[in-house]
Amino acid sequence: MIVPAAAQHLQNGVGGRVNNTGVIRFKSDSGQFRNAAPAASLTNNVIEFNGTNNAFTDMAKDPTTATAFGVDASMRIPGLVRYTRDSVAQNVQSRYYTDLEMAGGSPKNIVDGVYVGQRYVITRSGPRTYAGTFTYDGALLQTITSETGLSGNTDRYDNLTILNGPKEVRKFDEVRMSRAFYSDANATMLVKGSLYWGTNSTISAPVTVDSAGMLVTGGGRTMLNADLSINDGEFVATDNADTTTIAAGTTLTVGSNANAKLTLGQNTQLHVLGGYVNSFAPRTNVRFDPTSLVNFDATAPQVIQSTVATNAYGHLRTGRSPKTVNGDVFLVSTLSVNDEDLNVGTSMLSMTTGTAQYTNFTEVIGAMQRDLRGGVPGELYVFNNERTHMRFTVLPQYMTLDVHPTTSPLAYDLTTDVQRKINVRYTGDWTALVRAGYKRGDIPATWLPDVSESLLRFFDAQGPTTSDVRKMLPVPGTSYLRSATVDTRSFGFVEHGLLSSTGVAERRIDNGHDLLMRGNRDVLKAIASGRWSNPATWDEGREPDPKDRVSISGFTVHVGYVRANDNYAILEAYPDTMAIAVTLADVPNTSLLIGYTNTFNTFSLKRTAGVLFTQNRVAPSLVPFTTLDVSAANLDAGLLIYPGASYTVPDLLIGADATVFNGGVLQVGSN
Amino acid sequence: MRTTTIISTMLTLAFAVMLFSPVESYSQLLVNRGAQIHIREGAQVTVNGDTENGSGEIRVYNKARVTFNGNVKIVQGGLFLLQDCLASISMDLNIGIAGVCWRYAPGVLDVLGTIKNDGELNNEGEINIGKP
Repeated sequence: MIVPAAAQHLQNGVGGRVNNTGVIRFKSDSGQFRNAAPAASLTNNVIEFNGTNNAFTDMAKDPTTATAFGVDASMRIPGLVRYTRDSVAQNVQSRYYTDLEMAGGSPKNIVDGVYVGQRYVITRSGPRTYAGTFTYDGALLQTITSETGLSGNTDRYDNLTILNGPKEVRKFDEVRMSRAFYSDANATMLVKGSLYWGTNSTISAPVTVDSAGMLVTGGGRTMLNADLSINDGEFVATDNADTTTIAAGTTLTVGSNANAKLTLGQNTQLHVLGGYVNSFAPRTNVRFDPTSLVNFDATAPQVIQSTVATNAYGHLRTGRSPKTVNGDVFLVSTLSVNDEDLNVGTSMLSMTTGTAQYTNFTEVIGAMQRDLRGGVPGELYVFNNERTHMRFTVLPQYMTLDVHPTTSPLAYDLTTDVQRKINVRYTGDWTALVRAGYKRGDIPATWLPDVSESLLRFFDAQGPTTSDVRKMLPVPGTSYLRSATVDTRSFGFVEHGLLSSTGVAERRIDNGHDLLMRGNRDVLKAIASGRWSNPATWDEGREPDPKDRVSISGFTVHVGYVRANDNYAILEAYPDTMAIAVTLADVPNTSLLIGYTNTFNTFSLKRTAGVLFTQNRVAPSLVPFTTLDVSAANLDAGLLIYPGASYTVPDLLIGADATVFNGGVLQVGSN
Repeated sequence: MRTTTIISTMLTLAFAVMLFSPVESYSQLLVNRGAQIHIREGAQVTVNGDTENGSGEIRVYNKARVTFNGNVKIVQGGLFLLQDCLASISMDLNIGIAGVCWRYAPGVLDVLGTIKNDGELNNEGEINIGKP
């Protein structure tokens, strides 16, 4: 009786040769192609596996040794290996194949480590489940076979790797994977169909999207270690994907036609360590979700790609190297400038109402526009650097500060002015607190000795000569806020509480004029009744210092104690060197009241020859002066010294009929 | 069913046991020691037992059908399955170092056991190994 054989294999011994130009079919579930011969011993057209666990092994059934066909690239199985069966799943062996085909209606389990050197064909196959990495590793052009499953690993690659030579996704084909995509430096990719990356993806050879193709990132990180060119089609960073990084030395280029598109979805990031270029001049071919971030973070100087208002960046960040632009740059969310300046040259950076953040004392050099049509009164809007901002009570539609450090503004005087040009342009009326920053490098060495940062205040500069200016005065009762530079890197600033596009000349910045910071020493004028030490008493919003000349006309200024008109309790900063000149005008309510608080009772002008106190006010009546007047009322006294107080002036000039009420000590002379 | 076996009378043929259908055989071994065995077009041959081709050739022609109910061993020489002949081996096919098995197109060779090849296996048609 004939007994069917139990073993159903093809065993090719050491000297065996198999020349197969037809089909060798393994029909049993466990049939194996066992081999002990060199790779050249096999030529093959088709080897067909019909079983569930067919395999290539060595003669001892081990698939991992050197003579097992497909164990590595040197033992790649020539020709086609076809897995086909109509029922019961087939397990596809981890091998190096030349051509691989899935056929028949049975499910296919495709394990990690399948390599295809030429063609991967799916012919009426049942569902294919991939686990691990599927690799196309041919040196010649290979087509990536469509797998279109939307989730899981069935009919969708798990990891997909391409190696050694060019690949393409054909037009109308769709390739999806659930996890990582990787290409080596030789595996260029042409995407004419749709390629959906899974989680993390890395390309090491150029990728081109053409013929209305589409390339979509996965949910994880995408690393572009080679150029990505979108000639005709779209590159999409899908919503909530992680970062897409353009490595140093590589470029993401969007082509010069409207069909070349780039889309950054919600919460995505484009990390530009190399270059990002949009060659389509209208710039309408890119879409950046407002929550997306483009981060120019190369160590070498970078050019930031321009955008337009309708297709603006979401968030924009720069870092690590100086940045320039190749046109206007629009963004709709936040700006973050780090490490080095962003110089927009003659172009403009435009943002809406998001925050602008700066680190390491960086700034935007050039025009920075805020589109404030959606602005909120009372919000602080930072402009070109961390110390330049505006807080509007009345919002314009647009406000632009065109800031150029170490550049002469209009009306520049090198002996008194900060050499920083801040040109103010706006559309629509506005009123705002205005702070302008400057650096020590903006302060010329030619400043006169008595010019200082503590004296800086704003001027509206409209012409070339130094007198083409209007001084911006604080609102009575307010003062300038200043902070001097502390080193060569940090910013100082000058802040005015209420400038406007309209209204009085001393608080109005006209459209197109420069905001000049000038530190000369004008005669300090009282603009309100109040204490000498109160900055709000003076037109420049600061207490007089020993170098100042002071003029009081129509106001009652008191020294050394608190009155109800301003309830200001801070002591005079320079009680023994209050000024180098004081003039009281012959105008009603003009008074200087010298009082005391406990032992704080001795006051003097600077005791230098030539320092003069001029008193011209003629009091209309006797003013009580035996006790301190702490009321809020103005007094019409001229100079009044209360009992217990002492006041010294080197020289005293009392005008005709002018009055001095002295209940304390008035000493004249410089000693 | 008509079955025909044609053997060249030009060659030496040694049989330990030989059976030509349609007479049913209970023999155990077909041995060829240098002859050329021609199974001509349309013929049908069944060998109920093992076959050994020590030398010489077994040539099966177009549309012929040969069934080896046992092992087939090709020590030297060859088994040539021409054109659209059909051959089946119920057990193993052994091809020795000096042996050749040549399955031409478009015919089929069914081997229900294992093919053990130390020589040369050429296939232009179809070879089916094992059974489902």
